[in-house]
Amino acid sequence: VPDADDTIARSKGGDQGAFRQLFARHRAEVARLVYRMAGADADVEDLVQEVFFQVHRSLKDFRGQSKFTTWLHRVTVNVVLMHRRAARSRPQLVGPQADDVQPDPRILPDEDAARLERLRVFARLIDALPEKKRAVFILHEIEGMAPSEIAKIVAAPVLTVRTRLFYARRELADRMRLEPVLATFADGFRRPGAAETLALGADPIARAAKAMGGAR
Amino acid sequence: VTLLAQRRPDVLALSALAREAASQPLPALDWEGIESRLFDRIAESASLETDAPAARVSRSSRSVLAAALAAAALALLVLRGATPSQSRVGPAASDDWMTAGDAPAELTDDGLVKLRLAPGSALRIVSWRRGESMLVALLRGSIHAEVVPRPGGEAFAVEVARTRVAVHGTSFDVTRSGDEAIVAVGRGSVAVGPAGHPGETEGWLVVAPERAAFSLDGASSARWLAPINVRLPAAPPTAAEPTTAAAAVRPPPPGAARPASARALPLVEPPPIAPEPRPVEAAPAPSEPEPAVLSREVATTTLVLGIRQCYERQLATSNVAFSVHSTLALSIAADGAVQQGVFAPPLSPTLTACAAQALGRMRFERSSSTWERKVSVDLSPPGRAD
Repeated sequence: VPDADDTIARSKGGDQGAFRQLFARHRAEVARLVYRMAGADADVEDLVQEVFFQVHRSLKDFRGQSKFTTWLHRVTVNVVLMHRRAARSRPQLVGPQADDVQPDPRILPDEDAARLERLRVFARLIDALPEKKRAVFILHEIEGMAPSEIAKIVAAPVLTVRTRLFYARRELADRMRLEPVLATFADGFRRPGAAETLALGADPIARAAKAMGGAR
Repeated sequence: VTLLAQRRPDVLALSALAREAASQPLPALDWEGIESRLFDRIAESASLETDAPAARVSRSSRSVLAAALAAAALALLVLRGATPSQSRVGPAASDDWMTAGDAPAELTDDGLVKLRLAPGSALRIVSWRRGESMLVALLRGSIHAEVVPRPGGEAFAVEVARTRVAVHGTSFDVTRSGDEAIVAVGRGSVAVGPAGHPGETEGWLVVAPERAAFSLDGASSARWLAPINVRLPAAPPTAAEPTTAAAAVRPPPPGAARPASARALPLVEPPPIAPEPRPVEAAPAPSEPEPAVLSREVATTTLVLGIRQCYERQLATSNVAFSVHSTLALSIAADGAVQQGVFAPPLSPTLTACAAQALGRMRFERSSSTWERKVSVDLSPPGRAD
């Protein structure tokens, strides 16, 4: 896109206004990727700021040999991975326990509560994956990126990306069976016709839930 | 959906879960705040970058660059072509600076410090009293310092922009990396805080073998990095080699004990004890000096670090990766001594005994009466490599 190229070129030349345009144009996708990859406890705002700071510093090294968004995603993934590595090296001290923790009094609809619980457990399982597999799984399954693009982002061959994806899925599937919430969800896909229903439908989640007996 | 997927309900379930996760909305973010902080940081970084060339120009008349290039060819660079022990008497001239070309440059002050400047690095000597003290400003690159232990206070300090790294006697590296100063301590400990307070550097404590990155605005923020040697040594350090355990101590609240007093917990092989869980008795160490008196926050952090150290030792010697999720209920006497600690759920006997050693070597601030505190201890092995 000529306009985008011009903005990048002007940013590389030190034009702060152009860099502000770059920030405004790409901040949402960076934030989304950070949010998916960094984990629930991460400070998304700080990490987004760090990504764009690194982009500002490194933009001079961007030669346009790949798409700008691919390069931007690569910077984002690296920042998140560095953040997670640093977090792991620190003691996980929670601090003095609060004795007066009150449960959230709000009542959620059953299906929302079930979905949120399912997602919470799923996020925990993803978080427990080794970093490289975790990154590939999130980029492919949640962010919807193609293995070829992921390969550029994580600087690995496409075959390696596919291998990591395979093992990530397998590990998650194994661990999913040990989590009652997810095991029940997965059982819905074992019922006769569930897969066919899913294959034909436009909304796999709704159809899968229907196959489970109307839980959703 | 492929035929393979149809045969794998788990894969279908995973796919459905991933779509659910992808549909989760992003939490609301303060975009204006992010943008404001980002561009403030960029502006600050730009101003810091311009500092170094200014210093370089100011010393150009002294032919420092020529001397540096010549010395680099010899793989040894000393300012103005003379070793400090040969030419420097009394207070050194400030504003001298030193660069390393393709080879490292070294500077030695016998009895004080031996500096090694990495190739491509530059520093400025802010002040230098031969054999007594030295303050340098790292302009770019990386410096390694071997500082002779001195009892009289800060002998050597490195400033990176507005962040000061001060030591009493240790071996450490400081690297200026973008808008951060990376401090890696090989032996002993260093204090990192704002510049401009000679002899009284307050702030963060980095203890060997830790590595941490600090902001250049006076170390207002820090992040701990993976240490160079992640695994603790199998044998306890000797008295002559005061390598201490990994410890990260946050800046204390005003009036609290200095973080430097948060001494590391010794690596002592715990004695075998009965396997059934029981309260941890705080065992005093008669041959040790008096335990350091620590603020509640610092003491709690130090205690958990001690437990973490126990955990890492056991993890290193075990073939099984395991996690610890427990709560430690402490009972602390009015004089600050730990009377009792109970883990719920209980830890393994080895970990319990090791934790007892940590409890016995610390003391909280005095208070008017006995008090209690609960501390969550959550420890997991580092992420496995792919």
